[in-house]
Amino acid sequence: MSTVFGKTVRGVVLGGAALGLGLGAACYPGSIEGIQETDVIVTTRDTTVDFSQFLLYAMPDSVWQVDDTVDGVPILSHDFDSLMIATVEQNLAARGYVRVNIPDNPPLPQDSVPDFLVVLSMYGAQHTQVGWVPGGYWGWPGWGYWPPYGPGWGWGSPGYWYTTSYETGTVFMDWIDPNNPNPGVEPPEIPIDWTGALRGLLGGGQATAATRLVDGINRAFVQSPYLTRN
Amino acid sequence: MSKTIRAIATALFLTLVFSAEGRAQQWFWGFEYMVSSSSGDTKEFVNDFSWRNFGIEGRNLLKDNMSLGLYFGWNVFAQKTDTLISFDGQVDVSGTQFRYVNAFPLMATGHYYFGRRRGTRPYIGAGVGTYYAESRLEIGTVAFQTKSWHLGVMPEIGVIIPVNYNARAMLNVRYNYGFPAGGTKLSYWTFGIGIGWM
Repeated sequence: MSTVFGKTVRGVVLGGAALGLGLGAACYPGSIEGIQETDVIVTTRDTTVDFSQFLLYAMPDSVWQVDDTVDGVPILSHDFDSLMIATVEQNLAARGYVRVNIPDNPPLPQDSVPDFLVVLSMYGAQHTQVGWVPGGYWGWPGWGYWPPYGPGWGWGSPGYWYTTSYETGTVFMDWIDPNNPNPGVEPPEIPIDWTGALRGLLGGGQATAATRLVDGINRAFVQSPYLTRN
Repeated sequence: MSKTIRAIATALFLTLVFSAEGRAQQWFWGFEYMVSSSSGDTKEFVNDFSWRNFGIEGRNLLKDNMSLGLYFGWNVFAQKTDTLISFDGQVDVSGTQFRYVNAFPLMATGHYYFGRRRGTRPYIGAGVGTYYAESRLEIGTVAFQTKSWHLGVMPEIGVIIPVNYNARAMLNVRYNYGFPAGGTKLSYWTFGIGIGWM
């Protein structure tokens, strides 16, 4: 019996070890089936803001770029600016918001003063801290209508997720409320009420970029149903 | 928690030592393949009918109709999903996700058998011990993983069917429950088929 018992134990142990090795590969089964499956859309909002109170908005005609070169070689392009801006505009129009144009010179007609601004930006390098709008954005002529905003003003980000890491090629959409600066904050802050981040969407090559950008922007709005006039 | 784990390991060890000491009991060894289905909190995180499960056990037959033993298992749950992840209604995250739970039950077991000693033997039983679990969420190019130890219970019903003088076929159903730890509970069913020797 002891011989049988010993063989039995050995058999069980060896069988278990062999199967264990086989199952080791099955510990985390599954794999991505395309670059689009690495896309992540993050949206965050200030939960105290009623987005139905806004109507008119202004949006620059280009996407601000940060860290757009490596060793002097461009790594970002403006090829998709028009596509991204048009897609954002379509989504906002579907929610009842109206885009107004900012003339080159003040004053703004009273009936076309924007209730909020939308700015798109993209990052050519990995960032671990965002929560602000690129400095170049101060060059947008629209800021001339909101004195004294300019360099030195801060940005009131809507969420704690800004401290996470964003990969190369992340696109941001920021909803800014220039008419209601955060009170009692130094340096003064312009509140960002909503942000959509399309994480890593400019990676993976040009072939799929357009489709992924449009899909990513649309998904950001789909998962933000509170952005509506209705 | 480490004291709890040490206490459980000691209890498991003593179960085997004292159940074997001074008696001429017979050991029954079994190796099982299982399918499993997540339930409860586990199903909320990873909804899977899993084909990746196995277990190994030893039972010391104290009497004709009673045994004490040890059970070790490995259960893998996996799901690919694009479910929206929401945090406090403030932050929402979407994207293709791979969700996993790897659970490793280590149990002291007790079983009560019906039927004749060398015949087909239905049984009921239960395990008490611990589960080690790794829960993992992959999204984009990042992964979040938590590891936790759960005190747990494992009720079981099954049947042992003679194949020849030493070999037995085994069929069983177990419910696995890990009490809350690390912010989550474990809950899943396993349906096993195995081969045993005595």
